Amino acid sequence: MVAGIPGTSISGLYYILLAFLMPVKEAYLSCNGRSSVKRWFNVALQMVNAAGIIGCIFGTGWVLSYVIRKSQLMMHGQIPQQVSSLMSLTSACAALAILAVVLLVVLGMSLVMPKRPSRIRE
Amino acid sequence: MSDIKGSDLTVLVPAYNEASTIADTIRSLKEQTLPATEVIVIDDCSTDNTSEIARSFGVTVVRPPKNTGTKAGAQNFGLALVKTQYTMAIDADTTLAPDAIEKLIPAVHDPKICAACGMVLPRYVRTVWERGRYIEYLFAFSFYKPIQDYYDRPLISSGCFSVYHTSALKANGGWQTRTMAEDMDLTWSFYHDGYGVRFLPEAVCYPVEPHDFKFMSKQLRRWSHGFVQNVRLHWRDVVHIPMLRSAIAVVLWDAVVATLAYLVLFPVLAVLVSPYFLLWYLIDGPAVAFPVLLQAARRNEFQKALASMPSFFVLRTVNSYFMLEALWSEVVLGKTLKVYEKGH
Repeated sequence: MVAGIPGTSISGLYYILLAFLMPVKEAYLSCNGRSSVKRWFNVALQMVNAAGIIGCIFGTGWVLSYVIRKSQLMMHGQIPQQVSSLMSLTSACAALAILAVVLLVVLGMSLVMPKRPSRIRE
Repeated sequence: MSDIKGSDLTVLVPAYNEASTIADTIRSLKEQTLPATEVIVIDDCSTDNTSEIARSFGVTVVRPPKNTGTKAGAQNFGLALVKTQYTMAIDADTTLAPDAIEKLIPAVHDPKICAACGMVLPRYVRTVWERGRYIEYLFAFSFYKPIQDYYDRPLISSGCFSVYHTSALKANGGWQTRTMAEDMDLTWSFYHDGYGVRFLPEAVCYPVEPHDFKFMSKQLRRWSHGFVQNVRLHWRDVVHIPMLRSAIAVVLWDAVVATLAYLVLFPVLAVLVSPYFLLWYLIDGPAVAFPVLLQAARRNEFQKALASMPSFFVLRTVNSYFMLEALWSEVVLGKTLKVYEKGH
């Protein structure tokens, strides 16, 4: 099974950020002799995925802005000033802020909630 | 090829009225490059000839005194008979790539790893529901899951095809029947117990996915309720597990916010403000398509994936309804789904 609704909202952003952190972790592992070519291939593949997703988001935003501005020019005879780019910047900042809040909330919960023992005895 | 007697593995195949699919499942198990020591089909009191078909392949077939009511119940009945070091669970409508077991089992040779799962792809990609699921799987199993695995926290060891340390599985009491998603319950229990779980994309399985709305809705209802039930059951424990808690938190956030956006916000804004807001249903299409088509191209399935993309958006919107229904029912109304209905 898959959990939730793949390909939506802050999940995508979360995994994009994790993908961009992968080379940092892999470089650390390489320094400690715990990396491999196969692992670096996986890192590169996910970096390509993440970069491609970001490129597609910007590309879609650009195309939509263009279409909306053109249609508004045709309908109203004027082009709204920087509305589309402002909206996309606001959306990106809002998504990052929401993700940060969600991650901080669960981190905070882990600090204040008592940890229950696992059934495995060390 | 690995030593064919060296798997030390029992495969459990829970089956209820699977006469149309179980032959393919057993055949694919028999044709493995690393065959299992034993294959046990648990015929959960089927009313068709599932037992007879399974026996004709020479595998062990057992039957509980009465229908157990859940897949987990049937699996537990079979688990009591397992004597090997490793146990594999596979659905009776799922086939494996010929080298799936050989690719998957080395992961659990590490004593700290007690479960491992592989790549899941629909066997048939014909209807809008199967196509939507195909894209959903390509996206999740080529982007989300490898990243989860990289950080040592796959969210779920998929119930349709996973291998386990038998001792850890038995210590957990087998598969619990307390939620509608026994695989998620088991995976999160393992993490709490300090074990690791792996995802190996090289090991591929092919389940039969729901082909129409009736069966898809049953599966989505079960999965959505199962997710909510597991969050309610495990949240005090998973909050102490880094990466897992983050992954669950963002899924939960999306489950609430994305569903409200798809089902309420976008239609309202489209009516009250501008029809342009309907574009939000599709606006992330290219972003979803990128990893999907990349993975599909690597599998020589580019055209199939491209043709299936529109179905993804249909499935996602329907999925949103069932997620919202599960949240409302389980959390607000306190009505827990207890009846296990198969996807087909």
